[in-house]
Amino acid sequence: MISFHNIQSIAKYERKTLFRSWFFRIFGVLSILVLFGMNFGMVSEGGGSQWIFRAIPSAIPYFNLLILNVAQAIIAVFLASDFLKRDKKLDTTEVIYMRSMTNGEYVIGKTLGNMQVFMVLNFAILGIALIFNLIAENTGVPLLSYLTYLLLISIPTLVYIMGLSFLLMSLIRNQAVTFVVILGYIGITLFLVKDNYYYLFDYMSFNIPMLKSEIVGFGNIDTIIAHRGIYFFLGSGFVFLTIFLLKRLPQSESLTWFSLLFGVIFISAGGYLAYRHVDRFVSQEHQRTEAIELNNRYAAFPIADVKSHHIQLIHNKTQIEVVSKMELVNNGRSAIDTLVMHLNPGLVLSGLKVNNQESSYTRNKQLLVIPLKSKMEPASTNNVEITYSGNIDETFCYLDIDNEMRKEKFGEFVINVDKRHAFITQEYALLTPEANWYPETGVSYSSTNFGWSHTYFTEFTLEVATDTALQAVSQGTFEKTAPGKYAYKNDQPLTQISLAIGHYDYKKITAGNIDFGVWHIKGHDFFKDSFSELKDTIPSLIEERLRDFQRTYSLSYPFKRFNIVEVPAQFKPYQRTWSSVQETMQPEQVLIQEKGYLLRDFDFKNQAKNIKRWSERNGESLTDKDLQIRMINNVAGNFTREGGRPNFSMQAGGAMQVTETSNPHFIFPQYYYFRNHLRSDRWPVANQVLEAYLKNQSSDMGNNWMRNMTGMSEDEMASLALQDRSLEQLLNDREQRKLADNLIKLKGDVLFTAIQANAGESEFAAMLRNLLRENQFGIIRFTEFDSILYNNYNISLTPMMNDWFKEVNLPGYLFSSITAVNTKAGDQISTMVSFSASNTSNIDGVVKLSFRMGGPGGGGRGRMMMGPGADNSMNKILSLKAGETKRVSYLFDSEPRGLTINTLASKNIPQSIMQFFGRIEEDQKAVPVEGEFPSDVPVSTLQPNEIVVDNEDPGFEHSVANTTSLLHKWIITEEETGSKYKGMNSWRPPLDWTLTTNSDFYGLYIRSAHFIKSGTGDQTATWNLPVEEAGYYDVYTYVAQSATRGGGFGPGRRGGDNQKGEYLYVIHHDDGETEQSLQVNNAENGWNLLGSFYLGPGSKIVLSNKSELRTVVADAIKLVKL
Amino acid sequence: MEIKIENLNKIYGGGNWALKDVNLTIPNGMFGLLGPNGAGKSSLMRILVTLMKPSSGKVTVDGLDLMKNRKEIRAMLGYLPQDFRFFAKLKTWEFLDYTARLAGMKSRSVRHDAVDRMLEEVGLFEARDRNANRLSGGMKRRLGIAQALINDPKIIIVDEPTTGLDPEERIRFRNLLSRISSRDVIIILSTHIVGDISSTCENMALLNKGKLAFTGSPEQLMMEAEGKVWLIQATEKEYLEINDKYPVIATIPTEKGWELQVVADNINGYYGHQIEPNLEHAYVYFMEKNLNQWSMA
Repeated sequence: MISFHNIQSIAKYERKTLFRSWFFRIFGVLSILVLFGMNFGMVSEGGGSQWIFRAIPSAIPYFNLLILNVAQAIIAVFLASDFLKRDKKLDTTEVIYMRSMTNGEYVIGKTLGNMQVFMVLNFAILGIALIFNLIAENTGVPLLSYLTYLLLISIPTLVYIMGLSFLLMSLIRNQAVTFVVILGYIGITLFLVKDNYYYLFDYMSFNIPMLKSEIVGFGNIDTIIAHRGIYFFLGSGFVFLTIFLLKRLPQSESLTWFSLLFGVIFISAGGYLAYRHVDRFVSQEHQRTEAIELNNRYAAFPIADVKSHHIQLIHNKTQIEVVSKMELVNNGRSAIDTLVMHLNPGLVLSGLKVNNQESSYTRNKQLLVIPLKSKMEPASTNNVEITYSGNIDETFCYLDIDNEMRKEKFGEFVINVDKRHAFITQEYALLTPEANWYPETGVSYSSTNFGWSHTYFTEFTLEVATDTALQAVSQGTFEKTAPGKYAYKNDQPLTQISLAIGHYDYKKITAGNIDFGVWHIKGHDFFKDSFSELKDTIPSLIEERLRDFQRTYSLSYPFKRFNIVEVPAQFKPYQRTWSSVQETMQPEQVLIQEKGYLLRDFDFKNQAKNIKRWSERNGESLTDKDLQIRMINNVAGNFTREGGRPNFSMQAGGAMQVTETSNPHFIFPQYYYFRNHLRSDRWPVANQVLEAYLKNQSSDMGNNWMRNMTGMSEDEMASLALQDRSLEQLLNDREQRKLADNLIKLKGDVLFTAIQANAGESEFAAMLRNLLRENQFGIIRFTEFDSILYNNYNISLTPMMNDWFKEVNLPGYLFSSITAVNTKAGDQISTMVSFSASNTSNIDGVVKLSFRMGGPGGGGRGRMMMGPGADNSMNKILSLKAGETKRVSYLFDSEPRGLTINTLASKNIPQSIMQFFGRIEEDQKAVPVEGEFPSDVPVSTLQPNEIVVDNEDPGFEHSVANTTSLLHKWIITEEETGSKYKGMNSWRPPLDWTLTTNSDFYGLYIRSAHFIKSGTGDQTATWNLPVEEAGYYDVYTYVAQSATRGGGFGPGRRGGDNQKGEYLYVIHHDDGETEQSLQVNNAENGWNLLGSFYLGPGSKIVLSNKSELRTVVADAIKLVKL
Repeated sequence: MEIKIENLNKIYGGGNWALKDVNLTIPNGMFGLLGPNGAGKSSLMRILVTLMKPSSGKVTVDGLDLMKNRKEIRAMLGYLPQDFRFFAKLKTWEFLDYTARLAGMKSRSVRHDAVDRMLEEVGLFEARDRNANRLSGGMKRRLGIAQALINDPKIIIVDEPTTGLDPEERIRFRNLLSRISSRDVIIILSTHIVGDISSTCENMALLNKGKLAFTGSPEQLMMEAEGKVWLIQATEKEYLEINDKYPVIATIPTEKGWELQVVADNINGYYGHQIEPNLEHAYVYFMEKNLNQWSMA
């Protein structure tokens, strides 16, 4: 019989002893101070706060315990292993050991004592968190979450790490060795293994997602409980094994064997949960693979369109019961004898009728195969009624998204959020097309057949019955027919509908005949007081923003309403290869996760503070109204900006990698994807190409900072990929998934820019918009589109498409220097911009020129944040046939600020060459002329007596530093993938020579350089000089000053100051070696003379990484024969 | 109450015998276990307090097998180990309270009373809030005996309790044990200091090199040395000779030379007379005799 009295007694005095340990006291005080500071910085508005903490208040205890847990897991190792050491050291232990108690009581008491000490610390930290939580505005206080996170995060971790420490200490019997082993283990799991192997080694729960939504609670509670159970049971098992191994004569021998038995049982339980945990992920992967294979088998079956769809849905606790009535029409060319439909496998069919008669069918996973009694001839219709019920099996969502992407972290800061794609709980439901909650024709995805993606427009009607306290939200006009009963009817045919059911409230305003509304969860109206000064002006502000957006794209908003619908925090959309639409975008709706916690602009309190602070710094005086206008503009920017927030990640070698993301709330799909569809069975990608073209209507200047961060834009990566493979091959390659939209955009741009060049930009644009308007909410067939082009401009796309889709060849361009001068013709002063351009390749090409007009200032953050609003640029198209050179001149009445030459899909990297003109001087000799003039002299960058060795040339080589540990290679077997070219940043430069690109670097087509963190001179870059004729040469090195100084992202000076620094070159010439230094900040932008040397075969120049500067850049060397 | 030890053996790693065929019966009262350092006293003590397993043999307490009834026997025990210096970071009263709790005293008030009473009894009440690690050596010993006695144990085992104590502390300690021995308890006092036994124990055993050399009362041990203790008047030259031949127990300088107390069967050739043996004489005689026997064996 266990004596709780004994356990309590031992625990009590263990606790007292530990509380008196200075080690613990220091740790405790430090933890409290650090977390106080972090709470102040992250949670309190005084410290700047992260919106997630106030948007989803359970993030506060989650965050606090997450941080504390890492520290306490380490400290627990010291304290836990100390108890056995103390027992050994203290002779007074004997008088405890000889007392009448079992070994189990003793070890459990000690464990409990240790736990209690940490629990006190946990409660202290949670107390601090609670205080900050109570003080914070616009947030709730989820008291239960405080307890839940304690149980889920701290307790399993502590039990596990203590049990492990006890056990290892019992086995190793040396505290120092035990420390080294366990701390090594902690280090490996925390820094190397991280979330790999399905979070299996994440015993601190640092990576496993655990955010608790205010709408649906935990989204993955089964996974969390199983995962935390693994460590709780393993830890408990280790404690029992420690009892078995304790060096004290047991009270009874049989009890000792019980300890062993319990130890084995608990460890087995932990092992079983671990197996189940991994098996769950692995079996999901298998199921997904099988589902894709199944889809592939049926992808080529002819597909009917759904003309109308009436859905009656009953939301019954954690299930839906649905009757779906469809009218199908065969819009294809061949008859359909077997209907293929897809529906989420979690939904179980109970009846299926075709033309009001029971029909046989086969259900296999997501597919529903219905053999038709009579063939469905082209243009004929069939009625299908399907009755089904169940919940959504999310395993079958996003079949096109690979495991690597599904594994990526979701959330903010250290807060990890699980990824959910559908919800059906008693109090809430969210069903989007990805959940496949209503049947659709065709298959849900195919990895082998592009034709699977079959878009059609359907007249939807939806009837929903749910709890009387809940509100159903969908597309169209709604009517509440009875308490808890809603009927939605669409105003026009739609590609899809979604359904959200919850405790929703609705607020709306009307602007320009459009209802702008917010469906928010009751109590989540944190925004209601933030725009008090704009009550009357909000409609006009929104209308203005909308007009800006529509002007940019020359498209109009096609719906009567635009609603923001609040959805749970866990709702995760993915960017697709086959569609520009993310699941957060639904017809006339945008789904925003819980209070917009991922969008900083939704933190109105902080936003107001920041705007005020910035305006005060700039000497601006803002009224409350001005401030609120800016805030609403910033919010609008979240919907009108194409790009999302960049992703920052650390690469092996320590370099920071920044990757572009798309904005899941970008509303462009409302203007095209949900409104029009260009259908081509042969080139299904045509619809995306047209969409990409329509979307790509603004100049690229604003995005240059981003590409400098990433080292290469995704468009450029796509260009690079297109040099070796055709568009068709690349789109079939799942590895290139991330680049799919860039590939489509680039190739689409080439296609449509070529049409524009022939048809005229404005004429083509007008024709296209007219076509889209006439065919809105319907299908435009590719053949129809092609014949319109042919009739209007004598251009036929069909013959071009094959080459366009299958060709592997890209043009390459060389440009002379660009000059801008003011010229005078009579009294008329105009600015002339001129340069020469050669297409050196054997295929025709086209480049886009974008002149940025307007005076200095403007643009900048406002434009970037607001998306392409009022764009003040002038665009030109320059066609260059294979091998052609042109001298071009353009005249402007006002001075342009700069020119961007966009080489589209070409060998040129960077894809865009940018030139800012600065102050433009008058050239009295210049004759104002405008036009394109063919030239016989190709653009050349070299004189006959010059030799250049660029860092892209074979003569260039560099040392390789071993920056990845063997342990890392052993544990993380997957290779880190990424672009060959990296972004250049000075705050964390790489330890190895790394390739980067910038239009200021030297290069024929690829303007790149290698850069490295400065060091002791142990790393070198070498240019082997291909000197055939020995003699004296002037030796130059290329310095790209603007890239070197580059806006905080270049290698620059330490901390961005003007500290002097040198590059050290060693010239290996025929007379020996000469060391030559170059003061970088005094150097010319371009070629800089290093000296004259007698060079012959075998001569070389070596640049080391020894420098006072933060980074060293190796670009090109030029030799000029004297 | 009676402790019965039968054929007890303890062999450490490397074949070192700590105890060899020990047979012993310990009755109620104060029992002294005497022997030189390394005789096996502490091994026997540790076996008796269930800290160590014997290699073979049997120990019973009132018929209860020590190996099979640890729970019951541990509940009867109070133990003061030889080394009792290093404590966890606890105050004097806390340490006592801790042992009282583990000794089965569940009621808080009863325990507090017992702790205070015990502290009074051992003279540590004034130091009750002092960190136990900061007590003097004697105070630590007293705290040790206090924790051993806190639960009114039936068997009290104290291992070398007076080592390192000043005479005043030692006397105080002996008196304390004597007082307790008047209760219905067994007190086993292990020591290599003969004075501790002679002044307190009714029965005793003598251990040497793991073997039991004698069991009985101190008087019986002294009787064994009857007629074997001599007081010799010796010159400087004789002193050196005697010192080589016999164990000299006491050496007192006189005007004519030296007055020596020696243990021997006879002192042929020297001037001296027999004196009444005390326990120390008997212990030396016995050890000397056994040493010779064992060495001959």
